[in-house]
Amino acid sequence: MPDAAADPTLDRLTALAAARFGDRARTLAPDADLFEALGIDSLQALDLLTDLEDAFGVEIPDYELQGANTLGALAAVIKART
Amino acid sequence: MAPPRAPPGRYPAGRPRRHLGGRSGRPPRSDRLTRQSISRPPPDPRAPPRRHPLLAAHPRPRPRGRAPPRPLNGIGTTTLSELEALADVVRAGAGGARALLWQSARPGFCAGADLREALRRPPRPPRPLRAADRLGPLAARAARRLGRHLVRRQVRAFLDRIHAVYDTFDQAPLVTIAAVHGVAFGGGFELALTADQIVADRTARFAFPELRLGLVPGFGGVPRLQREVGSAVVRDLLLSGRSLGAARAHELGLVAQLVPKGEALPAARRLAAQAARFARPATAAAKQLAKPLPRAALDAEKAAFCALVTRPEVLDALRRFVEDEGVRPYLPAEGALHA
Repeated sequence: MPDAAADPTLDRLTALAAARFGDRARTLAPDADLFEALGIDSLQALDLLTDLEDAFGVEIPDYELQGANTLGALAAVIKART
Repeated sequence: MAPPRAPPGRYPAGRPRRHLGGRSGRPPRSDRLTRQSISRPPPDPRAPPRRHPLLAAHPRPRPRGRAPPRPLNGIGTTTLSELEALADVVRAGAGGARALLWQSARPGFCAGADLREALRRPPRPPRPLRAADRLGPLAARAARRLGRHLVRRQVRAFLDRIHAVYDTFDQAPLVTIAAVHGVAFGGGFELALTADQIVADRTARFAFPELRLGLVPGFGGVPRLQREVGSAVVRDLLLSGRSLGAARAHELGLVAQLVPKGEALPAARRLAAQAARFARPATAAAKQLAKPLPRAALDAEKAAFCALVTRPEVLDALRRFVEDEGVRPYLPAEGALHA
């Protein structure tokens, strides 16, 4: 995925999602609905939030994840906080 | 493993306790059950606390294999009865135990009050008051006002029971430790806040989502969190509804020990073993000095909850939350409450 190679945040985010939800996360396009495609439930979404905060050393309020359903959108939220 | 059961006749299982007595002679059946629960024999101080997925008495092995239908240890009337039984044991000296550990065998600590039960059986005014619309506008208004008053009284009775239990755990003259992983939201967060110390693994998250329902926390969470970390943090969590990760909660001093995933319970047990080496009177005195019960603020929180609970937006928000099949019902809602 050339986009991921050009975007270290997205790259790292994809690796985190793959570690938690399996390799299917690696094949997702940055604009695919992450939660729908991987069948992520509410508690797993919170686990992912903890992963993101730990990995990127940022604090992300839950409400900033509202509507951030794709890897690309999540990467944008993280970048705005780093 | 079979789920734990209350001894027969001790509690009206799954039913809220009704107020006692009445003006007319023989009490209804539910009251007789309640009377039995009031006159129950004192608990055997040597008896260990009964098992519950949320509870584990040090150094007993943690309960396994129980999959209750309640979502993530939701606190409803059944759990409240179980907590009351444990509070009785604590009041009777906890069988000589030196520490009380809270932990969950499920994927999170506790998601708070059982909102499904609250929606299934919401507190309602008596039937004649519900039909009062037929009586004309003035009578209907009076009936609605009386109905709201009676609902608030029912809610108040439930909160009084919860507070009695939480206050007992809060002020117990032994060391209490919450070993938290995953979600500790709402009433679950408030339960963890009764503990002397919170040991959390990195997956723990704490939140007060009550404003999402048009409410404020009602199980004593606001004064207890304020006691630990101060008002700015309380406002941050209340007014945004956001959740606090374990690492940040540790920085704020809310979490005493931050440990890797899966290590909260072993660390809590080591802490309990250490605390148990000290003389019992010194432990009790230290707790009295360092953990006063914020009585007035607890009462004010109950009053604020009861004032809000009859507002129309609360039932709507409750229904939306329970019926939400979305991926993130634990996160703050996208829509605001318009009221």
